[in-house]
Amino acid sequence: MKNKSISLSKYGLVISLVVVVLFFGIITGGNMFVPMNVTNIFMQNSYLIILSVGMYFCLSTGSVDLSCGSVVAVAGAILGFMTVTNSYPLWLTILCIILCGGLLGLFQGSLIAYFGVPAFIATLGGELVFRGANTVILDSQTLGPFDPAVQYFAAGYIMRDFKLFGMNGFCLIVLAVGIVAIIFNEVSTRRKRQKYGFTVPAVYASVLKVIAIIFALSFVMISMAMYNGMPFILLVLIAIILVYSFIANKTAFGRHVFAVGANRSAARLSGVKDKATILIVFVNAGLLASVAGIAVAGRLNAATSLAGTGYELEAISSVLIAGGARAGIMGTLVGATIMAVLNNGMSVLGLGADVQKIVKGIVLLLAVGFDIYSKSKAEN
Amino acid sequence: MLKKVLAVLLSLTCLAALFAGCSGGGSSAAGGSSAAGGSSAGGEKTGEGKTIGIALTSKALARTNLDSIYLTQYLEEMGYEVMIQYSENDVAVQNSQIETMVSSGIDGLIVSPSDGTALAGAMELCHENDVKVCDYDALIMDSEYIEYYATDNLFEVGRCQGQYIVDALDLENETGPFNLEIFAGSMTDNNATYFFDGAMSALQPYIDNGKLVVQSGQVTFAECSTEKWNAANAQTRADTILSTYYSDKRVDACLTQNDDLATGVISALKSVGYGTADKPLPVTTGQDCNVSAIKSIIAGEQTSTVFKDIKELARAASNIIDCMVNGREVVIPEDKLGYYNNNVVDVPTYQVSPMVLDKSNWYELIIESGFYTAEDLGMTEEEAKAAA
Repeated sequence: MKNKSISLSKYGLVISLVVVVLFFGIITGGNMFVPMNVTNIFMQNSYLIILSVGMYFCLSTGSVDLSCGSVVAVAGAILGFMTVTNSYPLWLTILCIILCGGLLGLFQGSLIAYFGVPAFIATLGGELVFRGANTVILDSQTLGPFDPAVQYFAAGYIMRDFKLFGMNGFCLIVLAVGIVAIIFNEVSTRRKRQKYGFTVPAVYASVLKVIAIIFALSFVMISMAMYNGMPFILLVLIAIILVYSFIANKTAFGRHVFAVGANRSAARLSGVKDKATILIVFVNAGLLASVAGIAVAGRLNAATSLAGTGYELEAISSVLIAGGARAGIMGTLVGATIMAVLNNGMSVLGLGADVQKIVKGIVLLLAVGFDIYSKSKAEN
Repeated sequence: MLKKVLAVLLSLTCLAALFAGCSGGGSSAAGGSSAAGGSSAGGEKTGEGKTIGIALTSKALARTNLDSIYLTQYLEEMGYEVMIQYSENDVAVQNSQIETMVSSGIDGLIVSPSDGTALAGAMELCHENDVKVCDYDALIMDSEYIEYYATDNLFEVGRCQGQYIVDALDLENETGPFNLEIFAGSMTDNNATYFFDGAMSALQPYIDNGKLVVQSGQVTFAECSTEKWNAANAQTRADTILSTYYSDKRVDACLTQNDDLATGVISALKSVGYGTADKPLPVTTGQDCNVSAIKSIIAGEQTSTVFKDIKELARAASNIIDCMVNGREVVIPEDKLGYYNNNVVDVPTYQVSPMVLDKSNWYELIIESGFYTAEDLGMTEEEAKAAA
């Protein structure tokens, strides 16, 4: 069967992203699309995407993690303390940081899952405790610089000097592979759906969609190719998104997360281990936050006591703008990108931190407000 | 989901409205440098078509507002477009702001670091993109790319503060012993160490020979430092010291190394009963000449502050960046020239000479020089003259 129209509602979020990008592009006189700035958008907001993935799972179980910003700070502090103040080997430090992130998540998760402490309160407490711990570990100093490996992880580029046609070769190759993959994916999805008798969008709709995605991908890749190439952290982000996308959509655990979020008692009565699920979700959030912490500290090449301030609210905003649990990891990615473009665009415009906060708050309130409004209309 | 598009459109319209309203502060960036320039005789506009980025710390500090006013004034006089960003003391934000300004195509950057130990990466980025940098007020450490630095003569500022206490208590002639407490600046501010060393150079001999006693025993920079130069932090520490060590003793002098710290400490002192005829406030110091500090000095609470001519500093920085952007040699007058080491290079520095200000000379230094008007201080001109 073929559906002759483009389903607008499905793509509402992506359209929002396009609108935001175009808006800032025009209002900054094209300054936003300069290759250096496109690369900056990813580098400056890598932490946001990582934290949003962790936050997505938390919000999907009906909880929230207000402490992830402080865990980011603690990760940086440990990195500084172990490698700069003392001289522990890097592998041991990274291991400690990841373990620490997991333990902090375990601590909060147990309070929430097994002791019934509301997530809001438990993680609020966590935020204060970890922030204080960060200052204690750092002794109120700024510690740095870090091992070149850490700097490469956070701020390095892949095969920076490999050039093809005057631009970075690695990016161009990735672009070529990406174009092939997108076309192949669309074609095979259509065939599979048709085989099982589901509706399939009209051919022109599919073609338009593929062209749009390829255009966006090309723009980003070529911009990066014209600057320093693909940042290493982007590979890390892609890996995280693919892995967690798989977990959310194709594993039993992913299903359990949504079941617990939808109706915890019903899930438990159906045999889902709800307490363990929540615990794992928070451990995971802690782990991801510590990875983000390494990225943040590595990029600045210093661990500061102010690291991570406000990150949890940005992550929550990203997930909620996308639509919460039903957005999926991909939707969360788009939500985080909208926040990132907002951040960067307002910076290019030279707006102060105070005005930026007002705008972000308004965007979040409007997005969530309309979401709830449309949900209530749908129920009537 | 269409509604979501509408939501985003609405908020973006709000944003546009806000932007239109806020475009008063900080002009938009030029799209890249033009080829104008070349050497100029005095009076010619060497900055036409070029943009200078200014990265400052916190809008909440009185001093930073003056920095931005004077820097903008002098740069715009030279024909430059100016782009100002405030980092609100978060150095990660400042890093991002510098990156964004560089990618907008600025020709030069004047940076007042929020945390001088974490900006080496940003300096490298500026160097790679041929953006000239003048370091302002606090030194950026561990970077080979700092070519010029403009600041106040930091050691001298501290020494003035210490010497003021020596003179006020007449330590040369009196035997004492007098009680002293020390409130130093932020550990992440490289300048704070110089202020401290300068002050201690004047005070240490008297601590050693017993004329000055620090009852709390806190005499190292780390022990006396105040996070972020924050007044509330100073007040808390003063409260603790006063209640622990001074329940039966009197404190005679407080080395408070800037006006905000002085404010915090004086509040703490007043709350335990200082400031009356039989328990007068101890000798206090300061720096920056904040409006509130001048008023406090006139009212007889804060004793002194250090006057640093921000106009001179802003003009020096503007001239330096103008010369650098146009490829001319930077010349620093002999009497102002100094060198500061940032762990990699010795940076040639324009040093502004500080002056001690107290009740005896505030009128001349503040009103007559035009630093503030009587109106800025909340007085009429007659009231100001009467209080001189």
